[in-house]
Amino acid sequence: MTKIIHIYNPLEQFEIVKFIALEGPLFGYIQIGLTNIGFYLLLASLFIILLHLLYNKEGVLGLSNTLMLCMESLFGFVLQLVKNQVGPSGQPYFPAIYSLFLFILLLNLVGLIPYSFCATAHFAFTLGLSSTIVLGVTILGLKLHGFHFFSLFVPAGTPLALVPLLTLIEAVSYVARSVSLGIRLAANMLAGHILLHLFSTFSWKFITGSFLGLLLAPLPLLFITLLYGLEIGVAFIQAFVFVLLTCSYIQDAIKLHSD
Amino acid sequence: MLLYDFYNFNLVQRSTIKSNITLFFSLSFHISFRKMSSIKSLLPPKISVSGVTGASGSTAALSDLYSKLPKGPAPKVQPQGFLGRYYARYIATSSPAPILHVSLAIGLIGYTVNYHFHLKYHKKREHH
Repeated sequence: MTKIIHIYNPLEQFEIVKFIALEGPLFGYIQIGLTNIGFYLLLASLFIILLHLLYNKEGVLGLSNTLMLCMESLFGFVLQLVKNQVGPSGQPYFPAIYSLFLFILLLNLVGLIPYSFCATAHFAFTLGLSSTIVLGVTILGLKLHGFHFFSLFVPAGTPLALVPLLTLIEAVSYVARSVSLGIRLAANMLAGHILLHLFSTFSWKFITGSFLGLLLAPLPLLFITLLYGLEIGVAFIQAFVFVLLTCSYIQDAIKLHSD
Repeated sequence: MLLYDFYNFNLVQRSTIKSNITLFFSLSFHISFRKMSSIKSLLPPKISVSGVTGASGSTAALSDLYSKLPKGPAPKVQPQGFLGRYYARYIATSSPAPILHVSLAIGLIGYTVNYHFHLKYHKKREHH
């Protein structure tokens, strides 16, 4: 006998819903409002501000508090990353990179709380973020080097005959950065959340389906716990990879042909 | 006699302040501890004379100032309001509980939103 198991759509958790919305025939019928993705972005921003206000309150007189030690560690970690990747000339960009790291990390971690919403699993958000970064880095490169910035598209030692073709390939690869940076983050988070949702649903059905399932309940629960731990690791790694690549793009813009 | 220790922000006994002053001079002037056995030897003659032997008005004023300083441990300020009490109980004590509280709060908000937009329809199997 075939038993049909009904499960809820695992993509339902990513649905964007409107909390408050103002709609009207203004500028081509635009919608102004607060959606769940906007709400969680605001929440993460407020949380970062709150953490740093607490740090300012306690951390000035010393590292007596565990929270302050964690903040110092994160700060030192990102500072070291910027120093290693960009070098001394990258110091002015450190605040932006530090904020970006904390923002993505918090959004990733907040998304792992049951029933909450993972903003970084949305391609619209991550692609917007990554394309803004690549656009900003391009403006930075143009400001620093002027027209010479386009020499980035011509690798050193290229034969003259191959220059048009290689320039085209390099230009496409440069533009693809903005897409790959965003897709990498969103795809990892999306896959992790779908996997967690599917395994949780199947585990629940397995446990509640039969007495044998109830007896073997610790096995799927252990597996979900391990998977959850892995997802926490992925949240950290993806935030790290995002800022690491941002640093490398900034380095490219500052030092053309650094290799 | 109690004096104010400017290094550790504490009121300390007069007998212990000597070691702090020694530390100050050794850090400031890089003089060895052997030479620092006597503070008197470091003071310029004029100051030494007026400060130690002279029972002038300035000494009395100084003594008056120290006598008016608060003695004993600093009074504990009772935290005011919900945020103040929360800060004193969890943040100042390095408790990991705020992480749990934040997670629970976000989970509760998330459940409320999910219930309104999805879960109440699941009960009626209106959409999957």
